[in-house]
Formats: sequence, C-alpha cells, structure tokens
Amino acid sequence: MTFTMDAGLADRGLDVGLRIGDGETVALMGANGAGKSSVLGLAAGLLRADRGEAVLQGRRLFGPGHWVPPHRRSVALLSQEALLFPQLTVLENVAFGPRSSGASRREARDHARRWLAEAEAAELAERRPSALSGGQAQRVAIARALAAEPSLLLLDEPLAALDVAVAPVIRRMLRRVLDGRRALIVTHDILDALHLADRIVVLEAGRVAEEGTPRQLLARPRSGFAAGLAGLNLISGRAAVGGLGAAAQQPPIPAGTTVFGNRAPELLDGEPAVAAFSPAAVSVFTERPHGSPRNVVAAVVDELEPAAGHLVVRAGRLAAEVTPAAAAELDLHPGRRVFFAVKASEVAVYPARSAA
Amino acid sequence: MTRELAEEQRPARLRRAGGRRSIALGLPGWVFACAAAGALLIVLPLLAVALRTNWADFPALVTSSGALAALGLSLRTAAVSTLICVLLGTPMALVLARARFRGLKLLRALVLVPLVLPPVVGGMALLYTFGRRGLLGEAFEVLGVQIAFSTTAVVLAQTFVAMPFLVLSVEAALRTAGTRFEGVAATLGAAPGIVLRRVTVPLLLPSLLSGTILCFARALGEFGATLTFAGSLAGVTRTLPLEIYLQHETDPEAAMALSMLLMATAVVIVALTYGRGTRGRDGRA
Repeated sequence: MTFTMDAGLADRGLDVGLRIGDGETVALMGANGAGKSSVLGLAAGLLRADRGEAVLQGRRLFGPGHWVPPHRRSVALLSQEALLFPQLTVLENVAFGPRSSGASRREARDHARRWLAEAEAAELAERRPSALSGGQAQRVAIARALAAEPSLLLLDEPLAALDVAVAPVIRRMLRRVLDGRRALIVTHDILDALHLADRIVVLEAGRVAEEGTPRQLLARPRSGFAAGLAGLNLISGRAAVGGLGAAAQQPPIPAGTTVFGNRAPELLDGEPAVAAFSPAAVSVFTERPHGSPRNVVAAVVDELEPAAGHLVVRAGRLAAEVTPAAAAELDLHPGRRVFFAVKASEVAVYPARSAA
Repeated sequence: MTRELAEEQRPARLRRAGGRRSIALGLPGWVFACAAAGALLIVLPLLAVALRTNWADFPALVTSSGALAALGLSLRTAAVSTLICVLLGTPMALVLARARFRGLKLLRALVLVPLVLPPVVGGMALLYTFGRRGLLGEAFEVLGVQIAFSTTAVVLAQTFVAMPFLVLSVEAALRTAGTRFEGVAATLGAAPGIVLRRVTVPLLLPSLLSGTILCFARALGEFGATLTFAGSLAGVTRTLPLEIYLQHETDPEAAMALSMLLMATAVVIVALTYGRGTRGRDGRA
C-alpha cells in the first residue's frame, strides 16, 4: 500500500511523479521555487491539480472528475511555522484532530496526552500557544499532526524556523516519530534528509530531476542541486571516448570539450552522462600546465569563499579548493585569469539517468 | 482591530523579538500644527455641546416622556438591526473574503455602497423597495403587512446603513488572518463546519466585536434613511436623533440635553472599540 501522485499544475510549471512506499519517509529537495511546497499543497488538497491523479492506500485523492476534500484525505500537513490555534490550549490543539474525526472529548484528550508525551511535550499541556518558545510550539505542532493519525504526513521545512540550538533536538525527536511512518518532508537541509529520510527526491524547475537513497545521491549526484549537496563539481553531457563530451552552457567549459575520466562500465558512447569530481581534486594555476594527463580549462575567478581551513575558488560552474597560502601566492582575486586542472583519475563519469 | 489580530497570529518567537517598542520618529512641525487644527475642529463642537447643556435640568430633560420613548425605541431598534447585521453580515464577509466566483468584486462594491450613499437616498431606495408601491411592497401588501412608516422600517433603515461597517471590519480581519490556520485544521480532518466554528470564528472574535459595536453606533445615530423611509411617528418610528431634531425647533434645551446623552454614548462606544485593542496589546507586553 503506497502513495502515488502524478500531477501537473500549469501556472506553477509543475509536473511531478512521486511514489512513497509503506512506512517510507521521502525528502523532497530542490532550490527555492522548484515547486516543493506546491507538491505538498496538491497532496494535502489545498491546491487543485490541472491534470493527473493521486492515490493513497488504494483510495483516489484526486483525478479526472474526482476530488476528495482535504479533511477526508487523511493527509496531515506540518509547516515551518507551528500555526497552533491561538485560542486553544496546547492539549486542545493536539486533541483537535481526534475531536474533528468524531472522538469524544475524553478520548481525544487521552489520545492528545499520549502524543504530547511522544513529542516530549507532556508538561506543556495546559499552556497557551502564546506562552511557548519556537521549539516548544513546533513539538506541539508535531504532536497535533501525529494525533490526527494521518496515512500520509507532509512536513514543510519543519525545522527551518527554529534556532540552531533547538533544531537538532527536534530533529532527533522527529527521527524517532517518523520511523516506520509514511511521510514526505520538504527540506533545504541535507542533515534533515540524512537523518530523517529513506529516499531523496530532487525537484528542479517543477520536475523530478533525480531520486535515490541519500547514499546513492551523494555518491553519484546527477542534478546540479544534488551535486551542490554533495559538494561536488558536476558537468553534464554525453559519454564520449575517454570520458564525457561536455554539453553547452556550462561555463567555463567550452561546449564539446572532452572531460577525461573513469567511465562507468555500463555507460554506452553517446548516452547522456555526467562527470563529477571534488573541488579538492582541482588544482589552480596561473599558467597553462603541461605534461600529465589532466583536464585543463581556462577560467576567470568569480569569487573566493572561506571554508573550513581552506578557500573555495569559484569560476562559473566549477569550484576548486586551495589553501590560503596558495591563494596568496597565486594572487587569486575575482577577475583573475587562471587555469583549473583535474586529473582524469579523479573524475567519475556515469549515466545521467539512474538505473531504476 | 485587524492589527491586533495579526499580532496574535505571529509566532511567539517573532512577537517577543518584534519591535513593539519602536522609537518615536521625528515629525516636521507643520504636521503637528495641522493635526492640532484637525483635532480642534472635532473637539470644540463636542465641548460646545457640553458647555451649553443645562446641567441643572439635565435629569428632567432626558427623562421626559418623549425623550424616554425615543431613547427606548432607539436602543431596541439599534439592538435588533445590529443583531441582523451580525447574522447576515458575517456570512457575507466570509463569502467576500473566501469564496471565488465571477462578479465578486462587483458584489463587494455594491454591498459597500451604503457607506458612501447619502442616507436620505438610502431611505428613498428602501421606500421604492418596501414601500406601498415599491418593488416588494405590493407583495407584502397582499400579505397584509405594511413595512414603510413602521418600527420594522426603522430597523431596516438602520440595518441598511450599518451593515457595511460590520462586513468591512470582518472581511479585513479575514484577509489579514489568511487561510493558513484553516488549511491546517482541514488537513487535521476538520470538516468545513468545524473549521468555521472552532478556528475561523474564534480568530475573528476581536474584529467581530469591534464591528458589532461600530454597527450599533451607526444604527443608533441613523437619521436620514429613517426619516425618509419610516417617518417620525412618536413612539413608533421617532428615534432619538429624530427627537433631537424636532426638539431643536421647539425646545433647544431639551435637544441639547439629548445631544449630550448621545454624545456620551458615542464616547463610550469609541472607548470600547478602540481602547480595548490598545489595552489588549499593552496587557500582553
């Protein structure tokens, strides 16, 4: 029994196919405006799709000529802000779901107390939402969503509005309560995905760019977004003899340049592929280096960023890591003409589409 | 009132950090001069009434049988029309703020017309609707009901002019509040009726209350539409403002005393409506 959705929303340029297995937690990631929140809105019934359908545990939520209103979907939505009902106490907030689905006042309260305890917030029961800190309010919101016993739990950046000191504690609690629960969590934070999700789905410009386990995704990213998460340089193109023929519009790499690297054995010539390598493998020169079998490209430095113990030199889509001493010696600054070089042995070339 | 609602809905964290105690910005001197002139224009006439009132005979003047009858009628009719405004105006505000259909903007504009319409014209409009030869009047005539120049007409006239105040106030609050709480409630399994009762209306209460008070005040002060549509029959349609107008011709002292009475009521109403909000904000600080 699963959740599947295949739906489009024209005015937001959204066209998404998604599947969440029983007890599976999926992280939905992507840049701002990629359509992540719209996906949640469609699943929750707060947005109407222009086409497509969604099915939850064999029950159709929407489809051509079919529409189940939000309150009958068994899909709960937890957002970045806790949005606790201000006029109700914490306990009444958590009891809201059970009460709405017909439980008696007493049953609902007992149920609410259980879920408050589960969210490590039992002692807050009699408080008003206005008397809670951000972290406490989010705990209560989590308890409230779980108390409704949804078949699918949607979480829209649940930790993004919390203080950095509080987020890890709530993340741990979420990890415990999400275990074995069908959930879709929108997040920007790779930590959320690593901690909470069984699988990551990356959305780019309203479409699923790639999906996989966090491990697969970080080891072999196929989308620019995932490469960013993994901290890798990524060049797309087609498999060519010795590596990859770079596609156009990936400055500073000229279109058609061959990026030499280790080709995955399953890769066929001409097949869409990507080349990935770590910024640490990139050497920076002020003169074109000669000799060894390297990939070399002329570039103009866009910016320098400090990172832990070194500097990141950015030029177009590429990043290189240098020591501060090397940066000083090479006189690196924005606008400086340099050459980026990376050994073929450091470059992995693999299919742009996942095997699945 | 809407500001208070917004304040209430900001997460606690933001509210604590938020700048409630913002520093007073410097204003150019001429702004203060203009503001003072404006304030005088409003306060001086109020003062004039208070000064000219015959305080010695005040109790006798405001308890004359004519005055008491007018006051009683005013309070009763204003209460009934306020009730109608709440019962019909709140759903109207909900529809205007939440529903989406063609012609909604036009409907809103039409509903708010009584705000800018001279009340006399409103009275004429009502007369041509419910009057003996009006749009619906003949139908009522057949049923043996005559509305124009009755106490019912007073209530109708007051409702007509006061309703937009309630609709405006509640609709603004609904828009400020947004639909996020309602969305959460729905995904928790609450049917639309439950969402309305347990989420929307409680969030609206402050603005509903101030809208109701404003509505009542407008109904209490209604003059033009009442005179045109309901006339001025002692004990039946002669409300306090009409009584004051009549007395002004014959017994200016009594008119002054009654004016003072209405003015005091108005001050209390304003204090209730706007003072409450301010106190609430400070109380939470």
